[in-house]
Amino acid sequence: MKKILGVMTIAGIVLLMISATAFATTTKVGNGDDGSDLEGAQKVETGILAETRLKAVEKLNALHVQNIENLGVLIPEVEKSDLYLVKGNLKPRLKSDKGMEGTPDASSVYARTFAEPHAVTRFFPSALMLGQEQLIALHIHEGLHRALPAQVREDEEVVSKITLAITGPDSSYDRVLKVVQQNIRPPEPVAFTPGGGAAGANIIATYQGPRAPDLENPSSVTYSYRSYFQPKETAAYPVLAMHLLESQLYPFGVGGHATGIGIQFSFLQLPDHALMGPLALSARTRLTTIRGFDVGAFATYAMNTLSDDELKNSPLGRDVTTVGLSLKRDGKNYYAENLLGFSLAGSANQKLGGINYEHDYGTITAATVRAGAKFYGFEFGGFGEMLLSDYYRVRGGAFAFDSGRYRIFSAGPELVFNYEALRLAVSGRFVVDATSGVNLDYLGDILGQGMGQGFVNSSLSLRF
Amino acid sequence: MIRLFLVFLVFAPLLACAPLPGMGDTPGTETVKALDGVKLISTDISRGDDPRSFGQRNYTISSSSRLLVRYEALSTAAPRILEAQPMYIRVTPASDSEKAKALTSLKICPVLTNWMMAATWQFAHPFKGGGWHPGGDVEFDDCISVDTTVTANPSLGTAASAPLTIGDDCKDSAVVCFNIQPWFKNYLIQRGINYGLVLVTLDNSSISIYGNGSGSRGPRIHWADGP
Repeated sequence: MKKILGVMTIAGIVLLMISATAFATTTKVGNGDDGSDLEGAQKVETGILAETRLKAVEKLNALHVQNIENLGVLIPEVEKSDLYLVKGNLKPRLKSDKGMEGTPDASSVYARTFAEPHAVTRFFPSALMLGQEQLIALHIHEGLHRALPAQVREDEEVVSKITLAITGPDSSYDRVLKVVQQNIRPPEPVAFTPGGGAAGANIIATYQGPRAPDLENPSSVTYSYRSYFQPKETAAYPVLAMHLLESQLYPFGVGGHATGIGIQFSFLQLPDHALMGPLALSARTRLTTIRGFDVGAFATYAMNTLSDDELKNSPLGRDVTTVGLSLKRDGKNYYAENLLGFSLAGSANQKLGGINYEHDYGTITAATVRAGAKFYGFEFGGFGEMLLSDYYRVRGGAFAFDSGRYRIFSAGPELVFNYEALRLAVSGRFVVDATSGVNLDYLGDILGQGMGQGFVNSSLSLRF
Repeated sequence: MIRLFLVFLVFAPLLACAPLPGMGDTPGTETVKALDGVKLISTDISRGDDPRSFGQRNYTISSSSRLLVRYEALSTAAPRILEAQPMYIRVTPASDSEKAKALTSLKICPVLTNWMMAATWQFAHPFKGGGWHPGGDVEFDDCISVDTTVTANPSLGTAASAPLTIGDDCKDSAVVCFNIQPWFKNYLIQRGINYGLVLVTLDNSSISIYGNGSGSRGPRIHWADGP
């Protein structure tokens, strides 16, 4: 994290230097507007122009455009931009002057701005002939020229479409979102050059992140079947397989943010019978996108208190609370994800033949790397995961066991087939290396890390 | 000062006659506890939590099944126990004929590896280092036979002859008793370990005894507490 902040700081300084250099010259870059009409212009702080700006900001706030990807800075651009009234009208000579910024007869220009953040807005006397609604649209239009990503902010057609979506009589959040998504394609990520330079600074300044595919259909209902590999030594509680029904719904969040609540029901297959397993509640959210990486957070709470009595009276009968962070890059032909999870310590009580045994589980730190390739509807990949835990202790009667700190490294393949809303996945988890004699049973997290020496998982999801 | 010296002279002989805890002939107070750690290990049982292996009314001990026994809190009680006094484990065979076999074939032997109630024939516990020799890590050289000096032998028409200080219950014609005082001294006191003992048969006989699922006839331990 410190490294990212460091890189961003350097890039920011470079960006400031570039901006400062640009403002220091009289020749304007961008849409060919040289700003010569600013000479003798009067700053506007009251009157119809100031009043309509306030109304424009109110409208933008009402539509919550700040939550729409690529419109995040539109409101401050409209609200904070310095307004100037130029003394005389100007003949249109720029391409943009023939759109919303110019009079219908193309005899003069209503307003202009520099297509870059924080630039001023210049109104021409002809704008004072416009109605209130038209002036509101003009404020928003000029603000969009400054707020949109660099690759589209000078595209008059795109800016006009978004302006209409915002100011039209049928405007709504969904309509604006749709128009923005239709007209602003995510740029291909460009390799960032540490140490600055115009390219690196430009990425940080303008890159808004890809439109994550999982934001289109984030919710899912999944059935999974896991078959466990028993440990080399005897199992403390032999579970052969697990049926898992999971519902992950994302009713919260807008735009680039999505927050979902999930519920998992599990049924365990033991050698001679089946029983109710843990019930898990989870929350997942995509926090933001930084340089093409989706940053998400998750938390799960697996409750064994609601499982079958037999499971409660076993080493696995503990509640598990896990929080974590994910960094994911989802490209057209590949995916890669880093996950960092942290499970709190916990305990379970087991009564065997009149003796009470207390199983104490230490905190678990999990570092996971997932990566794979996409080929048409298929995804081929794998993962590796390092688990570190402080201890696993068992005490009861005259018996005591303490594993001390231990590690488990597991890995496995992933194969996914996507067909429209269906997702069929097969994956495996195998203990590759571990502290001598240790297996996944030591974690006591049947829903999370599993049991024994690992498992094979198959699942079918419906996404919507 | 002289008066104090005279008082000491008067009471000194009385103090000399009083026994110190753990020494002398005073038996102390008998404590009898039901064994709480009673676990059957058998070649037929592979799961440690198999309900057939604990809490049962009867257990059969044979060449393929053994009964692990332990009083789990014995280490806590040890400082009060008079180690010079006998310590008995009392077991009740299921019938007279079973008792007859027990008198000759049933042994109780020290266990050398700590175990838990999830123990099986192959494993002392299901965790790291839990494996043991099939049937348990047993010190056969220190096995203890039925103490016939305190246990009545109906088949011979004899009654317990020793003047018991503790373990009067061993006179009951239905029970057999093992004096585990050597184990208590050598293992628990001197080595500080309470891995318990195991009931075994060293021949091909099969002996049925009452388990801790039985109300009054389950395995018991007797010892003498100091004053």
